[in-house]
Amino acid sequence: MRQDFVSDDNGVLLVKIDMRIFSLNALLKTAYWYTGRCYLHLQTDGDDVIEARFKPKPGMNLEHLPEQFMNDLLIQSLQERVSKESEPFKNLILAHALSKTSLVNADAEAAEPFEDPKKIMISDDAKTQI
Amino acid sequence: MMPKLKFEEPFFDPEVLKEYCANSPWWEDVSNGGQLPLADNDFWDCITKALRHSLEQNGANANE
Repeated sequence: MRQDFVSDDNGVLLVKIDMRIFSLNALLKTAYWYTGRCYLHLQTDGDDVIEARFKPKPGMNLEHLPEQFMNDLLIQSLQERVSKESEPFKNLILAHALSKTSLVNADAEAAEPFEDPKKIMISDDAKTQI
Repeated sequence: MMPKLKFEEPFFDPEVLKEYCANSPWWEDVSNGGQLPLADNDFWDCITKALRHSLEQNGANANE
């Protein structure tokens, strides 16, 4: 027996998606993945609902495909959220990677190879004797 | 009762939809207000290709 959120609409499986939960961008991306696996149609139904209709391609089985679609939509939405949350860190890492200025050890990175400002060429034993 | 399908943005670009469907035998009838051939796989194939192309234009195929 099918779950409540999937209904049979004259031989086409219909899922109503609440867009107060998912982003349009996540829906578009998820729909794109599925256009290769089944016939698909999207349309609005009021302000906050989008109807997704699934029809099997010849020789393809639609069993659990709408349910899998909803799971993938959830994953895509969460990935977007995580991506947004981690954006400042990604930008910082990118800026650092492209920058000539070191944020950690500026004098060491800017030094000539044999200047050895951190005295790494001197053994620990020798350092203690100085 | 047959579902009444809409072909609207941002899912369907009108030009893309026409590009994929205009050569199909059912297009003229549908364009003149005829019933959608919902049992015809060619109809579903055309509109799904149009949807896929329209989504590509919206960047839905970008890897993020």
